[in-house]
Amino acid sequence: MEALANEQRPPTKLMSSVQLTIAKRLFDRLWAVLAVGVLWEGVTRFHWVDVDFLPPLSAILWRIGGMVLDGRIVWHTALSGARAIGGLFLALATGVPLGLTLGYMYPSVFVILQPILRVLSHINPFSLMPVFFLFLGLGNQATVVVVAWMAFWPIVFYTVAGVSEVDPDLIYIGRSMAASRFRLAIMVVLPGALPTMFAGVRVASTIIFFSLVGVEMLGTTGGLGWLVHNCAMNYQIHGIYAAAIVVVVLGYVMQLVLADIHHRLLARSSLVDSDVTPNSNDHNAFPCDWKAL
Amino acid sequence: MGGPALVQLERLAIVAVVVACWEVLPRLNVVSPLFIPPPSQVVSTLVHLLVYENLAVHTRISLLRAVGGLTVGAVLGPFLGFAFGGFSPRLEKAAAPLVGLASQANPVVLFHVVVLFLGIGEISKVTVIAWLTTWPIAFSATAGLRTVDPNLLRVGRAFGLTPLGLFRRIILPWSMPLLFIGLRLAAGYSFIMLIAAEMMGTSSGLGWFVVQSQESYSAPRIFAAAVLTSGLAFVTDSFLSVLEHTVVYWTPRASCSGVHSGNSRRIWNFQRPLIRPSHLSGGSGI
Repeated sequence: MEALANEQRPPTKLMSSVQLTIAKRLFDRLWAVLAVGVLWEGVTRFHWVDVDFLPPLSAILWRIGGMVLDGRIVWHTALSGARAIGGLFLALATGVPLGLTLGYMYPSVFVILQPILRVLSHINPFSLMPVFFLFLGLGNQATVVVVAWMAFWPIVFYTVAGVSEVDPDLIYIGRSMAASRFRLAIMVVLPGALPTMFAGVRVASTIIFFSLVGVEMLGTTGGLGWLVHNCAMNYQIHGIYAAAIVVVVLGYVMQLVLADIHHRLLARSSLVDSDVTPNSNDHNAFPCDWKAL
Repeated sequence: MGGPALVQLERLAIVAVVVACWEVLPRLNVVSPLFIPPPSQVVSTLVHLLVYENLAVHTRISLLRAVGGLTVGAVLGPFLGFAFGGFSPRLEKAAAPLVGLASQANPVVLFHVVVLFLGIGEISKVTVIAWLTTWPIAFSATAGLRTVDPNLLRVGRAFGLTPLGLFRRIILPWSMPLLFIGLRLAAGYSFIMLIAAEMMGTSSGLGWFVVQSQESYSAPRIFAAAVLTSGLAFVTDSFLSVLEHTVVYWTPRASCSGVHSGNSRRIWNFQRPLIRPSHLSGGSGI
């Protein structure tokens, strides 16, 4: 009813008011970030903190601009992005079939395998990194595999959870239309499980982004993690902050995009319950209890 | 299926088969034991390192860092989450991007910055882990606050509860399962990233030990450290799981908390058997 009332209200102002509304909404969202930026700038400009350790924000932004122009940021971002996407795809290509097989085809096998999967999911890839490097060499391959290892577990566990939550009525309908098990899996179970699986992708991408930067610091050349580490090793304080801000903003943008896709998927699935689905403000992958499976 | 006892037996059998394969393959030189040592050797190395060398000391150091950071996060997280989620929609809206950016501050990147201010002592590591663990817990607190059933709040108010009473008797119990999910996720993150941080800028702890073993390439030591770190993470997670089911005894063991998965209406209703207006109007036969 409220929406209807709003629509019936005559449009009183012209374009300028629309632009004003957009500006106001942006400001409503961003004033806290701006305030922190101003605080940062002020604190450093008045020399209330050691400027050698915390350079002014404007200087760092200037540095970021310079690094974008000389192509360094672009190159390292592309490198990190390619590794992250490669790792995610490797994890998806292995994890989704495994999750579907265990969750849909052989749930009883999953019950038996559950403890050992849980133990395996707790293996810390950083402590096994020397072994990965030994088999695959220092460089892109080992990085992608380490990252894929991290992403693999949430994807498997969320796929199993999603598959087990598919509306059984839909499966009955499919069966009554004489669909084969494989066809059911592809046409009914997979689409039904998609929103939950995507929650797993969100968790996985958070973990990927965190660990990729760490791996890049330890075992490769190039990439945003290497950039931060390199600046730190050379005492380029501006460079550390510049690269760190790029990493943080990229991670945040990635989360926003993934959250948007997730909400579209949720909205598309017909079973969505409007007051159960999370608020659209909630752009963070909700910590689902995938290790408790 | 022959009941839970058979399942346990089959589970044990699977574990035994996996360990046996791991033992036999290097022994038969199918994979080189220089690269993947058999578990018996790994365990004997682990015992040797714990008893005769100072691995126990490093383990204690790492554990103290992780637990210290996690404790700070577990105190700060709910505080921040309830504070930003609860007061005003305007504040919440503005805080969302700020919190989002803060939660993306990668611990290993943050470590390089924190070191500038706090040095390479214990404090900087605990700070980084605390920062890392605060956010998942804060998000789950906010999620709890947002999803709390308005009818319950109405009932609470009708019984004359003060705002503090509402928080203590309704909001907190409601959020507790979510808080535990956040806590367990945070604990998992903290172990992974602590090792990464220790591999970079310290001279103690398990991460440092891994780097040492890597440099004098000794596969049994690397695997021993990996077994130890994974074991610690596993034990911590199991402990938190037990704690969860002790503290939050009123929720059943569900496969996945249904907040984010649109299709999990059944689980949601199972956990919270409440009549919601939308269920009544939706007319679905649940």
